[in-house]
Amino acid sequence: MDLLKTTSLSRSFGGVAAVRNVTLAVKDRELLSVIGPNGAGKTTLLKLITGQIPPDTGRIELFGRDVTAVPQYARAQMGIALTHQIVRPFRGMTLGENVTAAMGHGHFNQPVASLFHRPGAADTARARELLDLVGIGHAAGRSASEVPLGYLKRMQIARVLATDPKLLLLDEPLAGLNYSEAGQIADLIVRLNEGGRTVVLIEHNLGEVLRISHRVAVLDNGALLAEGLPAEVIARPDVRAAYLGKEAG
Amino acid sequence: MDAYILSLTIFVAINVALALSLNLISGFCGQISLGHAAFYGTGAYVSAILSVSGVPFAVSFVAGGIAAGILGFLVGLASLRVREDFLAITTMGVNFLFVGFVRKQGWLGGEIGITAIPKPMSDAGMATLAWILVAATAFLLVAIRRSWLGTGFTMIAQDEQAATSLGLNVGRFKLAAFVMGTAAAGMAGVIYAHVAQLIVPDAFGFVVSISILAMVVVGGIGSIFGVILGAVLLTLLPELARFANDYKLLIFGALMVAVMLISPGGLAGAFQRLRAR
Ligand SMILES: Nc1ncnc2c1ncn2[C@@H]1O[C@H](COP(=O)(O)OP(=O)(O)OP(=O)(O)O)[C@@H](O)[C@H]1O
Ligand SMILES: [Mg+2]
Repeated sequence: MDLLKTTSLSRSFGGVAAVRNVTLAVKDRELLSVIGPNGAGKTTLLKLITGQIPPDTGRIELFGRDVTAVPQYARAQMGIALTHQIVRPFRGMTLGENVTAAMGHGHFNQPVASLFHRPGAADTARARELLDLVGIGHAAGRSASEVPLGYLKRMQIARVLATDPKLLLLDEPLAGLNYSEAGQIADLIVRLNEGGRTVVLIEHNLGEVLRISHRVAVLDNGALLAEGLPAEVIARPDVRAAYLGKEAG
Repeated sequence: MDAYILSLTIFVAINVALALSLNLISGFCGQISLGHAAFYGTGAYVSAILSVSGVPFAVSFVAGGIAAGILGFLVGLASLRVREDFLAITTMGVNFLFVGFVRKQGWLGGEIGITAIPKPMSDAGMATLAWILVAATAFLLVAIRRSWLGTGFTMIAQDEQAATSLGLNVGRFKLAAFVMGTAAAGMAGVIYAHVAQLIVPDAFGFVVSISILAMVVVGGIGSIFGVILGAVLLTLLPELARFANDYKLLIFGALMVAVMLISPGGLAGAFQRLRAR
């Protein structure tokens, strides 16, 4: 079954066509990476999928249902989660509080009812476990406004896991991490995927992408240039030209 | 108790309730409002009209709160449609609209306002009612702070997009903040109308909104204890010093600027820093 399907999805900003006519399907339990040079439209594609911005044309299906008109928060409640490329911590909170906040996801649709439920020790403990999982449990008490970027990148993964999503959209989760940290988080992504979560990964770290992805899709200039098995896709001359040519230039 | 002192405690309580209710909207949920007096005035006018036409006070009281909450709901709806930085202008506009509208309504007394509003109970009784409203509002804020509702408000105040992407129904949560905060302000307006027994449009003007905001800012945006303190201080200050009354706006303005420069957390923030030392 396709967990996620976009059909002829397009979106432009002023004169810039950020995403053009992208038709892409992600199967249940798949680990798909989307790669492409800077400005290729990868982040825009994720924003269209989450509903942060509407498409100009095209359709998005999630879990077999057309969600093109469904608002962003409701899509998140259906079980999709995004970690932001440009980190979005709650800056007035500690890392632990950031994750604990997301533990309330079951109450996020009903403000009146949510007044009668409160975060408890179990939520804090679970948040701590999730921070341990991404390797920053020791920093749970530190303010989100003063930790390094790599911490915030990892906190964002812990925070979305608190909502127990079926589909994880990860926008450059390895950026800001050193070599061994990146390897650990890549391993974690594999474990999450094996645990039953479908993953769409955007990454410039091609080594990790080739190592962990089931399938790779290449965006160039907003359009889907290629998709297939990682080794095959990366070997294609047109992909190399688009990707490496722009990276070098 | 001295009649003056008694009426002063009532006005302190009304201002504390107003400041706490604005703190819920602007402090907890991060939605700036420069028009809080419009909701205060709605509660006052609706209840005054009802009471003057013989409706029992209890009914006027509830109706004033509900009417303000309904207006709050509508302004909240508008707030969902305007960009964050335009909310200040929108709410300010609502305040001017309110005063402008009321002034031109003969049935609301126009410029002269509504007089001879019947007093439902003794001053001591009204003072008790006012402080019960304060206690209820403070209790509500404490309960919110501890609940998932409060978590949702904090998430919205700190990063709306992050909150939405985690599945928070930001629109509904904002509306909840507006309705609760404005209904409480409306009830404060009911008490004011029935203590003063006379209301005029200017009692609910933009200057009043800014004064309420000053109490919140000076006390410490988002802090419950701090805002209570800020409201008490800024209400008493003009009473204690004659010159402070003449220069009320100047002093409130200077205090707000000073707080922003010296201690953005207001009195609450300053206390916290002292304790931490
Ligand atoms: N909000 C916006 N307003 C105007 N232009 C935008 C906006 N968002 C994206 N763009 C443009 O759309 C194009 C695609 O941007 P996008 O961020 O999706 O690329 P990307 O593949 O994620 O790049 P990167 O690898 O650098 O993150 C770029 O040309 C970008 O400048
Ligand atoms: Mg990007």
